[in-house]
Amino acid sequence: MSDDLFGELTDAVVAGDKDRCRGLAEQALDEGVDPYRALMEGCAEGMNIMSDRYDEGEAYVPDILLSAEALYEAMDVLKPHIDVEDTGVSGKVLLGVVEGDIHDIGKNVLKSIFDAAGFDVIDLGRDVRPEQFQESIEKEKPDILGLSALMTTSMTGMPKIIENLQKAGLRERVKVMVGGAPISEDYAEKIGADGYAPNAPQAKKTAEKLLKQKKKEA
Amino acid sequence: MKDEMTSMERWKALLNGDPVDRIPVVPFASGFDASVNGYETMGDFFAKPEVQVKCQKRSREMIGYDEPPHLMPPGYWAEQWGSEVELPYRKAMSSPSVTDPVVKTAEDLEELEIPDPKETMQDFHKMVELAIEDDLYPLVTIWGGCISAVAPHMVSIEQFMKWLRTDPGLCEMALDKSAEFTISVAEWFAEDFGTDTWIPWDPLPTDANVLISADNFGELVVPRLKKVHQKVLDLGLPMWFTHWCSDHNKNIEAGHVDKIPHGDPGVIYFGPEVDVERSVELFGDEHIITGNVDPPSVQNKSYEEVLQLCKENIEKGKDSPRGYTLTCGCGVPPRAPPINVYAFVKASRKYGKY
Repeated sequence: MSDDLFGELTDAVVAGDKDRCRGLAEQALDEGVDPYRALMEGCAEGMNIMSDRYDEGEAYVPDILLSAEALYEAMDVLKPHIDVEDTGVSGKVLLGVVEGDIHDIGKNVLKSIFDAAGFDVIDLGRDVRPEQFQESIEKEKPDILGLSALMTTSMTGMPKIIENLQKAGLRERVKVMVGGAPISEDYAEKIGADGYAPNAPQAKKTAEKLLKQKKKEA
Repeated sequence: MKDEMTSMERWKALLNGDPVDRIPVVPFASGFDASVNGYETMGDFFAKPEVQVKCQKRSREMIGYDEPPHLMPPGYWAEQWGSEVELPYRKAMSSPSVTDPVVKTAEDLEELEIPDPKETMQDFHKMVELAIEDDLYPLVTIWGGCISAVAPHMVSIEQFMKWLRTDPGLCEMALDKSAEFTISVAEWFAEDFGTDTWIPWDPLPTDANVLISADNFGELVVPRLKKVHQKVLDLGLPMWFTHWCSDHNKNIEAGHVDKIPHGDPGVIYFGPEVDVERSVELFGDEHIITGNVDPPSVQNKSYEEVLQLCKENIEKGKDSPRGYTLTCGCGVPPRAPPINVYAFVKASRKYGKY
């Protein structure tokens, strides 16, 4: 029975059908289905499918955005009923688009994929000042800091953020990954980032790798 | 190494299909132009017509490239609709940003009136006039009928993307309104400035296949962009200079780029996502092709490396049948070292002689 419901949730996320997602999530609660399993085995699986399709050029931003909307609709229903200890959250990620840059569509796609992957995601939004990143790292203690930039001007803010973390003695606490159209692996290495991804689906893999690395180092 | 033509002679010869002494260099350097003119931010450059024209003219003289001023209205084709725009008066910004698009709902869009250019574009008119008075043969942004002129200028990108799936009729309505507006701007400019003193140009970043499918582009954008381009050509303008910004490979494969009238020839400007060799092969018989050295390299690499990248680009494009110009992929980064922009000119003189 649960498996059917999970399958339906997966399909609803893939179809970007938020009303159906909400309905199915409510049904899951009514039927006593474990909300965490409904989220991860149902909704998140749908987002994984969309992420793979996007990576392979079979789905586009409009599709991902609607799937994310459907995912969040189900999350709204299910999350209050999930026991935090059951989640086995794999890591905490702080995301933001660097100062001077309002291009946040890539970051938003990334956020939905990270949410679906079970990360605890804190989204600082766009046009984020370096001090805001620093303050949030001190407060939230994330495992990973994800920086996004679409402009050649704003990308120059990335090394400054990393330098600031170094100066504040916070650099060792957090893995830094960078991405966005003008960013390359070489650039990531040059500015002292720990990871780079050319797109959102790849970013999930990079984040998982960095988390493993961080746990090993701990 | 002595040039046989002036920058303006070379630019005009390229467009007219006449011989040029060497590869014209048109790096698309607007923000950079403000920076090398000593402006700490790009705010005044985008806000003040005389600054935008002056900076581009002077840096062209200083660096020695052949680019005419390419002009963008202070309202960024967004304020005209009633959207809020932040001009780049902060150092971290490189261009105006639409901070609050005017359309939030279907009703907002339905009620949105098409602006009167004579009421909302006077500063842009003045800017074009200044450049034409100085015989600079400018590239003038004429932007409509494409997603890039609508999202985020009228409606947020996210909202527009969602409507593509849930209510494509609203996308069509937004695109139609933007097409109508831009045609009226072009008609006004053609009437006041004639059609042999300026070239229309449009950039298409939000229409790229990193965001939307070739099917969406074909169904929604092609008919409207085609209409805008054709109407403007019918006014008597000789060509379009169109920047197919970001990844348009699927739009190329689907034959959509071919369907858009660019003039005979027009100028087709792809980003680094489309190799120059491929541009020449696909469009070189009909159009002028631009080079596309990638912008982060111009910002981050050494002079010698940039010179080498320019050389490689020139070698691929130099013999394109209708002409070729050395260009930076999506424009020169505003904070690029000036010597790296000079590398474009140096490369043209060293490797681009005809």
